[in-house]
Parts: sequence; structure tokens; C-alpha cells
Amino acid sequence: MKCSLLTLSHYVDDELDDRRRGEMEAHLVGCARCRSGLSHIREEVERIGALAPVRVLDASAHALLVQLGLLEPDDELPERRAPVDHRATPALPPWMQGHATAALPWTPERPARPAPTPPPDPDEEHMELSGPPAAHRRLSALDAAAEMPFDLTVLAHDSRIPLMPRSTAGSLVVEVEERKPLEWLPPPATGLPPPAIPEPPPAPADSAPLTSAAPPPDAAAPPPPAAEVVPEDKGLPAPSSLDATSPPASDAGGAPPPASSPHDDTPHAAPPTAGDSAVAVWTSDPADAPPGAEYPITDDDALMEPIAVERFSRGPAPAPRPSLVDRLRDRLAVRRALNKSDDDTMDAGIEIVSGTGAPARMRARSDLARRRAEALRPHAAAGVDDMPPARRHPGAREMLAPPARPMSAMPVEVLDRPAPPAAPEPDDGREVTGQRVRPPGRDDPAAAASRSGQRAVIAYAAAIAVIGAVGIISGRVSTPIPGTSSSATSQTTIPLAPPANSGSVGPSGSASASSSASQSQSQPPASVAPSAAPIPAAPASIGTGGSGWTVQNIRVGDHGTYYRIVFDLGGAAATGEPKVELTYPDAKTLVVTITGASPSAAPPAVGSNSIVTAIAPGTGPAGTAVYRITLSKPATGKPLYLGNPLRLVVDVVAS
Amino acid sequence: MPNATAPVVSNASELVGLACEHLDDLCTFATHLVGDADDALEFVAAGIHHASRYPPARVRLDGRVALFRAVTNACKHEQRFPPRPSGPTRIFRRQRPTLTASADAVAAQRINTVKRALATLPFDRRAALLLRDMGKLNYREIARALECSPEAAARLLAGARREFGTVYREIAL
Repeated sequence: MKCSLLTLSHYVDDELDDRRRGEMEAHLVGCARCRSGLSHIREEVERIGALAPVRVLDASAHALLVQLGLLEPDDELPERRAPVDHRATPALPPWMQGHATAALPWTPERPARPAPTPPPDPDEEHMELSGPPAAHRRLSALDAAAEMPFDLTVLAHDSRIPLMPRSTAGSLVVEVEERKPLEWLPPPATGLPPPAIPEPPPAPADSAPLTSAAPPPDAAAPPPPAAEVVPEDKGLPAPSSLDATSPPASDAGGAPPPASSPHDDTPHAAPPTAGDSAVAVWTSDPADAPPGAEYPITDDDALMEPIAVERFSRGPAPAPRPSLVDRLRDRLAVRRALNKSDDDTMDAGIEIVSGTGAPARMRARSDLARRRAEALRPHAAAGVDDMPPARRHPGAREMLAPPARPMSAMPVEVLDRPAPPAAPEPDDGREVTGQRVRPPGRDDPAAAASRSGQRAVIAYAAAIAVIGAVGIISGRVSTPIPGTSSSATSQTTIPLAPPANSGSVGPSGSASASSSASQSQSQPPASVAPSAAPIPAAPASIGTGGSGWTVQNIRVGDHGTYYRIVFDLGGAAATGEPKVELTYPDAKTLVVTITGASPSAAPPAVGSNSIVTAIAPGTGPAGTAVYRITLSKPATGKPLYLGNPLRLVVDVVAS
Repeated sequence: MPNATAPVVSNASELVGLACEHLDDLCTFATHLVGDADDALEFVAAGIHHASRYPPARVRLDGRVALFRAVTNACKHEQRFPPRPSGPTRIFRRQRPTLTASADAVAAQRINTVKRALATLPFDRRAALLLRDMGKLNYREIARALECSPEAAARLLAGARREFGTVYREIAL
């Protein structure tokens, strides 16, 4: 068997069959992880079962049923079940949870306890406890067990009895012997007369919540003699009387306690006889019930019935919203039906619970938003601590804390609050008191608000800065609209790329290039080019540096899409590749500077119909060849070297 | 289509008995399910109102499970009884709640970590956990109350326990 939380959950809930249960128990022996998980699950079951119960008053329940039309105003409310304390420890068998003496044939005498009489709160109309606390019931169970004239032995196996009791202090020790559903033990063969079962005296009125069916014993009445035959109806509580105190059959997942049937010839269901020294204890499992016992319909029987709707996973999906026409038609139909009905009672009973005519959910949404806001407040969970001490009985609304947001990223800070006064019942660590959940670093609400305000200011400033930057950038990159270069709106356009950089030519660059570059840089664009000036191309360079080269020949060729200029380089002692830089003093001028090569060849003449209209030698320092290429329109030069022999190729392509 | 209901109840006696017997359990369950006592009482009233329209055979077979199912659906869809007034008049008309309940004062005065951990669970998981550990329903009854299969109910419950334990240990430490 593998470790599985699902199987553990089945095991805790007694939903495993015998074979799987045996496997699980065997697995638990050797698996500490599963034992830990099992203890965790049982603790969670205890914690959830210990949540505060809600008690609806009889008058309120009667009013509701009358309003629903299920009950007439003059009818009496059916007898309601006594409030069940779900906080009973699971160490007790289910037939004793909340009813410590339900299985006893009499009601043991309970020591008189001073009833707490808190001062009634005039603001709260209904303030009553749903029952004594669980600890008192456990003590009552111990008292009942102590007063037994014999040892109580549980013969039935019930899975809800933990195999490893967590603690036996303060709880009734139950011994599990075997799996026999209903069995009467023979009298002990000790030779001594069996202990007598006291006769049930009449029930007092004040013991109604716990033992309303079985009357308490009369302290003054002497116990009956040991050999006295105990009548069946007195020795065992009748099923009808037990129904009032024991949990219902469906609660325990089984059946009401079967009465000893005289028609049952099985030894397990033999009626009690004189001298029986043990108390019959029945199980809650219908499968272990003696034959002949009538049980209510089980789940298997119910499942045989066709189930109308079986949904899986997410449950019911909301119905699509009807169209406007449908809603109007339905509303009119409802109004017409309500107006045409002659029966007033019929009209009064019609309730529109969904669809058209049903109340809007705006109120519910507002309530949800309010609860969320309360939950998000740091001091939302401490509302009870802030309660004035005079108010000792809060209303039902204060029973629950507001729904909190997910606690995954929210640490808990334990406040140094003084310990609360002695609780009326032991807490068992099931509820943590004196703790508040606070976000990290937000101890002071004022400081948190200040920080949030600062953050907002910073965010606003950043947003304004971003907007300004975007505006500036968009203004700089705006390009002129073709055909409107002479318009006034495009006169202030700033070229994106700066003009040719004179520094790239070198510290001793050619005078023409430097002068042209400095001219283009020194003059503002708006004054030099009142119309939209073409944007020159970016400078380019090639070569790592060489020396001793000579430009022996210059060849040109128009290839349609580009214009090629070839500089044939040569030299006997030449080394490396001369560094070539292509700069653009303006958009229609390309300057080729070859550092490490001396000009010797005259540039050829070029046609006027191509991109390159003229090639003229420039002036430069010694060992540097400079050629000024005039372009008919803005173009870009792309330099590259070809070897054997070394040639510099400049392809001029129109931009 | 509007769901106009008529005050004709064929199984009124059975339903009245069931409702009276389990009214406290239903209110406790709904209160911890929705986290608000006043809303829970209105949802419980709506659930009983819906259950009064169930077929008599269904109520007879399912018993209290039918009530838990109706109340769970009412809580899930926020169906109230009596219906809240709609329109601007809802500001001025404050209906008196049908149900009034009292709670254990000792338990109500506590700052309960369990309640807060429970409030973080999704609705279905919270409902499954409360139906099992508070209503003491078995898996088949939980499945019928939540309108799913028993296997799905078992998985839902196991997941709810895992998540609840994680959240509880996280906020209780």
C-alpha cells in the first residue's frame, strides 16, 4: 500500500472495507509519515467539529415554517431534537457523543453544578447557551462510569474508536474486544451474585438536555436485590425513548438501537435475562445488526432510485442570462399573473426566487465587498478583543470572523497581550487565542498609509516623466511627409543622425572634409536647410590599417541599382589593408578617405545620369588619399575589399 | 424563466419534521459555510423553501440529505428567503429576518483560527469538509448533497483536508 492522503481520509471516515482497512492498519504500523498524517487529519476533524453550534429558537423556527406555508399558525411545532454537541471527543463511541449516558438503562446521578447565570444583555433578545460545554459532558461521563456497579465493556467494534488513543486523561476509557455486533455476556463465573441494576427512577426536569429519555436514579431509593429480575422494558431503554437522546440513525450512518426481539433466535440478539451483568451495546453499522431489525432505508436502496441530476466536478453551471425581450416578456407575464389572481393567499405565497422578478444581487455584492474590506483591515480579526468587557454575550454575527484573504503570504504575529482569564472549559489547543494576522512590515496603519501615499506620488511622477519622454522622442523622430518638404510645418524637423563626424577622419583630417563637416555642424539645421534637408547616411569604415599603398587606378560602373567605384591599390612594400572611412558632409556628398595610401591616379569622368555625378580628389595629409564624390541624390556608400590584387570597392546605393 | 412557486406542499408533515429536527445543524452548517450568521439564516430558509418543492419521494428517501443539498445550493447561489426587495425601495424597506438564532457565547468570543482557515477554502471544499466533520454525513450523502459522485466527494474532501491543514498550520504557528 502506498501512502495516500485519500486513503487516509477514507480510513478516518470509516469508508474503507475490511480488507483495505486491514491493509491500512498494517501500513500504519511501519509508516511514520502516514501516522503523522492520520493524527493531523484527526486533529482537523476535532477542530472543525468544535466550531460553535447555532441554536434556532422554537418560536423562530415556528415562524419560519408558518411563513413557508409548511405549518399553520395554530399548529404546534413538532418536537425538536435536543442540541447535539459536536465537540464531543471522538475517543468516545458514537452512541455516547454528546449523550454520555444514552446507552445506560438509567440516568446516573449527576452532581449539582452551579449553573452559570450571566447577566442578560438587554440588547440581545435571544441569548442562551446551546448546552453545557463538552468538558462538562466528559466529566459527566466519567461520573456516570464511576457510579456504575459494574464495569462497562464495549463489545462492538466501531472504527471511530481510535486504535491509538491520543489521551485517556479526562475521557472514558473504552475497551474494544471483538467485533460482535450485539451480544449479551453470560454472568461472570465468580460465584458472586451479579451486581444489581438499579431501577430507573423518574426523570427530573433539569436533566432534559442530556438525558431526557432515561430518568435519573433516586438517591434515596435502595437498589433492587441482586436476584431480582429486571424487566426488559426497564433494563434496556426502549428504542422510542432512545431516539430522543441518541443521535438519529442517519447521523451515525446506521440504525437506531434495535430492541431485543423475542422472535430473534440468534444468540446475539437474545433478550436480557436475570443476572446479566453487562450492558448491551449496539453498533451503528447496519451490516452488523441482528436479523429482523428494521432499519431505515439505506443509501444502497436510495441509489437504486434514478437520480435526476448527477453532476461532477464543478457542480451546477449558472443559467445563461435571458435576453432583454425574454426578460420583459417574463416580467409582464409575472405581473399579469399576480394581478389576475383572485386568491389572495395564493398571491401572498408566490415567491420569485430566481429569474426575472427575483431580487437583484446588488445587496449581496455590497455585503461581500464589505466583508472583504473588513477582512483586509489589519485589526479585523481583533474585533472580539476590542469588545467591551461588559458585553459578555455577543450575537450570532460575532460568532464568526470575517472571511480572511488567503494566508499564504501573510505571517502571523503573536501579540504580547496578557493571557485571557481562565476559560470555562479546556481549550485543548484547538483554537488559537490572542493572535492577530498582520501583513509584514505594516504594524502601524498610519505608516502604511503614508507609504502607500508616497508610492502613489512616485508612480504619478514616473508616469509624467514617461509621458514627457515619449513626447520628446516622438517629436525628434518625426519624419517629413513626402512632398511637403517646403511646408512650414516641417521646417523645424531635426535630423536623426548627426552630420558627418570630422573626428572620424582623424586628427589631421582633410581640410575640405573638416571644413564641410564643421560647417554642417556649426550651422543650425533650421537655418542651413529651411526646407526639409535630406538625412545623410551614417559614416562607415573598413580596414585595419596599412601603409605603403598607392591608388593606381579608379574604375567606375553604373549597375542600375547601385554605382560601383573600384580603387585599385598597389605597392611593392605595402602592408596591411588601408583604413578607409566614408563620411558624408551632407546628404549629397560622399568623402572617401584612404589612410595609408597615396593618390596617384586621376579620377575618371562619370556620367551625369547616374547617382554619382563627379569624383574629385581631395586634400589630405601625406600618405592619405581623399576623394570627394558628388551624388545626385542622397545615397549610401558600402565599402569592401577584394584581394589579389587588393582593390577597394565602394558601392553607392541610393537611400 | 421566473421560478414562481406555489404554496402547495404535499409532503409538508415529513418536511416539517425533518426541518425541525435538523434546523440547528443546517443553521450551523450554513453559518460556517458562508461566514455570516445573518446571511446563513436567510439561506437556510431559502433552502427549506426549495426543499418543500422537492418530490415527496425524494425527501422521503434522502431525508436530511435533501435539506443539506437544498441549503448548500441556496448558499452557493445566494438565494434568500424572504427574497430581498429589488430596486430603489430596498434602501427604505428593511425586512425583519425570519430566523433568529443564538450561538454559543464561549465559542463566539474566541478568535478562531479554524474559522479563518476555513474561510480560505473554496466553496465546494468548505462544504464537503463541513458536511463530513460537522454534519457527520458519509461519502454518499455528501455526494448527493453536493451533486457529484461519491468518488468526487471523497477526492474533494481529501483535498479540502489537505488545504485546510496547510492553511491552518500556516496561520496558527
